[in-house]
Amino acid sequence: MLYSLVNYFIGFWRRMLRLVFDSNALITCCQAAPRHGSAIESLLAVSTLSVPAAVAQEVLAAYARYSDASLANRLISTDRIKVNPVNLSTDTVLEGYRLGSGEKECIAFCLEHAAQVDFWVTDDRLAYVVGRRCGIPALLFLDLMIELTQCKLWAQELAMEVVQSVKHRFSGGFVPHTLSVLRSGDRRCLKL
Amino acid sequence: MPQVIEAMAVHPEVKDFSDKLLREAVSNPSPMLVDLVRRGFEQKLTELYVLFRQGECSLGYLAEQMGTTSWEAVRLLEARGWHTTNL
Repeated sequence: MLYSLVNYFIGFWRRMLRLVFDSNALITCCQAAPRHGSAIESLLAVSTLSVPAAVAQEVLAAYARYSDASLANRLISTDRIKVNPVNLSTDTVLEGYRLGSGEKECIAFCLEHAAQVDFWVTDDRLAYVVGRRCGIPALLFLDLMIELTQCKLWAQELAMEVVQSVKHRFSGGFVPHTLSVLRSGDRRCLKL
Repeated sequence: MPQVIEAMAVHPEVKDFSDKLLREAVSNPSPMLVDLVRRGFEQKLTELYVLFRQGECSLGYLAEQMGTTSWEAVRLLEARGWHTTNL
């Protein structure tokens, strides 16, 4: 009985996505407001979320002025979002890119703790490209919505509401494409 | 004949940030210095935004170069009706 109970919880824990967020994606997530609740609370129900120290420092510097940063700060201060210290030397290939400390620390952390990270979530084009070049499983926030529905962790309706609520942050085809994939359940779908 | 250049219209967010940065360096700046710093701040933000939108710098980099956080940088971009991601 105890054995099966333990196995059940281990199974549930294993199903949870282990995500690392940079500031850009954290801002998107904290601004996302589906009809019921908040996107980040819904995300924390099905995943473990961590940020590197540089991202947490930015939250700390901004939370008094902005409600979305205040939400992030509350989750960090209650340890629901974990903060990872990162030792990043200044003589890495990352110095050749115009990245911020938070993005560089995300990359360094994901490389150092690859076995503990399912995805690095970023909404920055350069950071995404550099992360992929380093072999990190990087996801755009919108692709995280697709991943959550395909893993059956989120209902399609919730993912669509979240995407709609942050559509002002994306240009061009990103939002219609995401909604099309969410509707069809097929990443290869080109139909609007 | 030299023309008097009128003080540039400055977004309130820029005024907040540039004034904060200036007062960290100078306790009692002259109006001309305040104006120069505001213009410089606006110019630098515009240049970085071009790089950001081209995917040549990240939001974090833009924020650090402006002496702000990413959260503040997003507000600076939003205040101009500019995109807050480079996607």
